Amino acid sequence: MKTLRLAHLYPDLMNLYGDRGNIIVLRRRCAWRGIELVVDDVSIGDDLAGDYDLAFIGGGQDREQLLVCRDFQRRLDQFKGMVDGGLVVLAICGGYQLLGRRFLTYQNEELPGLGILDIETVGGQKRLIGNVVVKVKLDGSERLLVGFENHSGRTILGPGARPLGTIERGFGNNGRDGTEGARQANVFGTYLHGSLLPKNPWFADYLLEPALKRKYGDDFSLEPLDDGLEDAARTAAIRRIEEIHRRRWVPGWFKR
Amino acid sequence: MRFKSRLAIAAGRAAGSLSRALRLGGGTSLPGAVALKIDPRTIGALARRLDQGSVVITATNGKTTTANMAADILSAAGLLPIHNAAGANLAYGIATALMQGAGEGDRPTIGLFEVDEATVKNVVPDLAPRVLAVGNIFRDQLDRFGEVDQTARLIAAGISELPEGARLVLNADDPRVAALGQGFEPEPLYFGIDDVGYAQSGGIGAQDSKDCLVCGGPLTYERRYFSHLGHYACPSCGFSRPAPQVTAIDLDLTLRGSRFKLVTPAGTFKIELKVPAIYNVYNALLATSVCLALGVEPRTIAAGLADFKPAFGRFEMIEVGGRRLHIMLIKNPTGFNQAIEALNIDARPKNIFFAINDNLADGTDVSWLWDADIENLEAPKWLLAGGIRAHDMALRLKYAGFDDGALRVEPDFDSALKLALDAVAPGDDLYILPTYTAMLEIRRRLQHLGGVSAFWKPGGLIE
Repeated sequence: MKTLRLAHLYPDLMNLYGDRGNIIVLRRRCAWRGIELVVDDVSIGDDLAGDYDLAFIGGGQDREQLLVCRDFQRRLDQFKGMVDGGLVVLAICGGYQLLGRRFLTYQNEELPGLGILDIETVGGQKRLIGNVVVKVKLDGSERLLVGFENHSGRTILGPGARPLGTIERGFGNNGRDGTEGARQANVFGTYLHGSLLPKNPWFADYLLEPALKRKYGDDFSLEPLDDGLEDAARTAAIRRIEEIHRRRWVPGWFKR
Repeated sequence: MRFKSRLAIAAGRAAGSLSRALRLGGGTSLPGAVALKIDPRTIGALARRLDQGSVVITATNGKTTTANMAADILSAAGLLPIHNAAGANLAYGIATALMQGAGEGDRPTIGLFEVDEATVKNVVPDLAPRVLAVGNIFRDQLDRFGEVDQTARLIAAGISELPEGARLVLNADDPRVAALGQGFEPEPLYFGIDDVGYAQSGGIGAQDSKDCLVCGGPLTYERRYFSHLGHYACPSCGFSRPAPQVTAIDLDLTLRGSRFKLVTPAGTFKIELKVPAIYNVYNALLATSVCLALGVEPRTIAAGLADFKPAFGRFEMIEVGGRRLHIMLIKNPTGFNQAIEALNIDARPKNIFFAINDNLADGTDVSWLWDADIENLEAPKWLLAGGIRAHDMALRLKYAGFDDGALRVEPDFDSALKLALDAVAPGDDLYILPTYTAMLEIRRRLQHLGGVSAFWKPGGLIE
């Protein structure tokens, strides 16, 4: 039986807005193909021991992000080595910001990041909240990601990182340049909750495939699954997002 | 009263009448919205006329149930509670309740308001409440508040606006809530559960508070009742559960109701509640503590609680053509987990209709479905995912392992209810788990089928 190992980084501290749904989806989609996904929770004080193929880190509140950042320092070189070796990483929201070079709070306080993604984040006063549709072009084909964002940080990409996609609806990285998320080798960062992967199963598979290829050779390919329900859910969500967009002038007291 | 306030109230009332006449809805918020637009001080002007002052109740879960319990007790004590309708817990809804309640009857009036967590700080300066009660802080509609910590900060901002001498009533078992009482004068009235049998051990989902609010170290629990509520202490700084003055002991919980002993400084009383589950014990403790803080006799409190009937959608049972429909409102992961726990009390194979909307009042982000432990659901027989976000719910069920041919998806409420009533035989039970606006939609349709009484109540339109 084929096996993949995933390190779920700080699940007790970094899990906002249903981020653990991503783990549920990765595990199920592996199981449906006869692949076992072993998930290890790695939190404060735990060792990052093991041959990991994937790592996931979710969103957290500022207080928790600070604790994680402090703890991560002692395993930073080890983790960077794993990333250089092809580890597939998915980081959401706070986790995404944490992988960057640094974070400037709204009060101009500087928090050092892990420096794995060439991004910088600056705190903003107004939170960017709402449904998001992102157009993503990976391997030449154009596809959509849907999700929900909720962040006050504005992220700017450096030359080392490429945006994950461009915004169709919503704010994305900073609400200005029309980009969303970042990608650098096999490290993916995004602001999308929702959870991200359930309604975007193609992206779940897109993360699993390089991990499997690295372990079991380039000939390995994932067998397709029946994603009828997933695709219907994505279509329904996009329809809903367009409907909300059309009605954005309706006053709040009337909506309830 | 100032001319401007009078004008505002008259205009608001007129708008309400017009909206009702035209059947536009919005009756619980529109009059207040209009009045506040004309005079932002409407709430203060009306609140000053309340004979017995007012009470503010806030919490993530259980605001409506708790306020209804307190209203029953205060009525039993001979007062006339001026009370905002379920869900209309923003400033508009409070203003509307005050406008509709003024000048009714001859009993002394008291304002009793369930208030949205973020709205507390906006209405406390105007209401100048005698008592402010906080029940719990869970993850809820984080799309509105940002983060859980932010919710606590918003409530703390409301507390700092309280008038001199006002009492705080706090849940001792919720560390996030108990921490709000630190340094507050006079000493807050704390309540909590002191039962051994219903404590859970380890590995509980949807926990929203794991770190000490004072020093950031991890909290340890001696007992936990659900989520992060229980008997806790912080080994690093010494912050711990304050000793509660009002407690529940000897709990006996079934799907039909809850029995427990209520221990107060004025004696111990047997309580029988018509609503099940441990969180309703917390709701009863909060209502009790509020009334004790107002000086109501414990005997009156016990009688009021015994008479309490659940509000619509909160464990309400409706008969339709011989089928028993149980409606259990869900709004957040903790509430969802509790509903599942309550469903599991019924060991028979179950028919369940999940109805998930993402309107403003439901929370526009449906991520929370993934934070609920749907996997714990036992013995599902027939499952239907409905509501605007039917597909999101269906996906959650699929990934929880419940898609083996028994799962149906139908976003349209009419079709979904028809499917459900066709699938469930007379004599059988159907469990409906709706979000707030989905519940209103379902009730509206059940009303046409004759299962539900009309929404009109004295004091205004419920929706």
